[in-house]
Amino acid sequence: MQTEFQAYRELESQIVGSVSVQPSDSQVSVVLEGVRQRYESSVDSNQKSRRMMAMAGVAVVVGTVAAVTLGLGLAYRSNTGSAPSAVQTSAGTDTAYVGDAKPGVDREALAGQATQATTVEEAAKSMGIPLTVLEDVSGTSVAGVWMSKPEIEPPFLLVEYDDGTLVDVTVLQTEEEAARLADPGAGDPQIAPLVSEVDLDGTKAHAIGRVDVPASYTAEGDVVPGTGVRRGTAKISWASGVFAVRVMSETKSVDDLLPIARSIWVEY
Amino acid sequence: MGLAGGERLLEADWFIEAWDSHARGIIAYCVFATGSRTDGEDIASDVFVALLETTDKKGVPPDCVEAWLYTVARNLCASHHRLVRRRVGLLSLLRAEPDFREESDVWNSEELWAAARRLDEHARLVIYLRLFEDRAFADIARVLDRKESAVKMTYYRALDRMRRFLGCKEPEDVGRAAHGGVRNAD
Repeated sequence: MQTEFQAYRELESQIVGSVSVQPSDSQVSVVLEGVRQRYESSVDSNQKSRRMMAMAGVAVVVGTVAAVTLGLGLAYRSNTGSAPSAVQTSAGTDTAYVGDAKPGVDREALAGQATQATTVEEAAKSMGIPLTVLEDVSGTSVAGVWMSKPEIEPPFLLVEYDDGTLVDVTVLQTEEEAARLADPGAGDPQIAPLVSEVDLDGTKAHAIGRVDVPASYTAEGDVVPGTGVRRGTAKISWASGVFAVRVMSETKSVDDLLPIARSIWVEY
Repeated sequence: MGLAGGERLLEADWFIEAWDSHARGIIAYCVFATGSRTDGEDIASDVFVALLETTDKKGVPPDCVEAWLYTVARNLCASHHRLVRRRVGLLSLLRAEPDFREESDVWNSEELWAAARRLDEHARLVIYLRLFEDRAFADIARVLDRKESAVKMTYYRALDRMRRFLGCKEPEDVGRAAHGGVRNAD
């Protein structure tokens, strides 16, 4: 007869015997070198950012709109250019970040899960999605349409524009699921502060740009909301009934995506 | 171990003390929690970089350093698991399989690793401190700024969950009242 206490002890010994975690001296040295490299990169990155912010500040004092725009632009390039190296140079991992770490469409994977359609209308009709897409918005046109295979759950329809912009319409079981999928900050305090609301001609949508915000910590060791986020994709998303619609681009800003998002209707 | 060269903060007494006292424990916990020596070491590096950066700005009270380090490590490990889930980026929208498999190079039992992976990060940290640092519940409670009873409950609930994940048979004389006895099992 096994008592609960014996069961716990048995599992404890199994766990202890199953994993070896104590670091060797050489591993400790490797981690210390990692600390040194990352901290030096971080210091270098912060110094660059401060210089760029100072330039932006001078521009504000000068008081011309053009100069302010230039300053902010420089600051932005500083952030996007140097912050990733602070994380990636030493070990190639980005554990301090959350977000879309590896954007990009894997066409091989897509081919295994979806079939190509000729037109958006054909795909939407086939899947029972009341979708309307205006083409030739902002000089873009539809380059490809895919419908998920019947065995894929939840079903989705994907539209790719010739500039790489993607529109994903996913069919969920409930409106709550669709709303949750459409909100990039849902249940995520790190990302939620970075999500804004945009108006799509009367429809409220969530928007989040491409961001790279290094993690900051409170005195209690918690990540400050809105920090520790890296996203390589700008996205506008909303829910219409059980449909979650997401418009995404690796190169465009949220503002650039707005005309495309406004050209899409899913009636429910 | 000592420090040589590098930034001034890396040579500061308070950092050396924090490193010498806690580096091995933090590294071991991160390796335990991620199941990967490489990822664990990377995260442990991030923990101490965060300490340097935070201390640079406003400081961590000396008597809170250990608790601070484990809290940051726990949050980073949680972020790591979240990142793994999101790693596919746009691929996730296509329902593709992730290009990252959560295999472990430090666990020699896939079943146990799978069960540990399904725990929340707080529970994993409690398990680690209890089993691998052999700490008393009172000490774990101090580090995690929780009540001792809450730590015990977390620990035994985590073991219960692992047992369920592993499909263990229920002990024959288990009664839910036995959890009252659990509280005295330290």
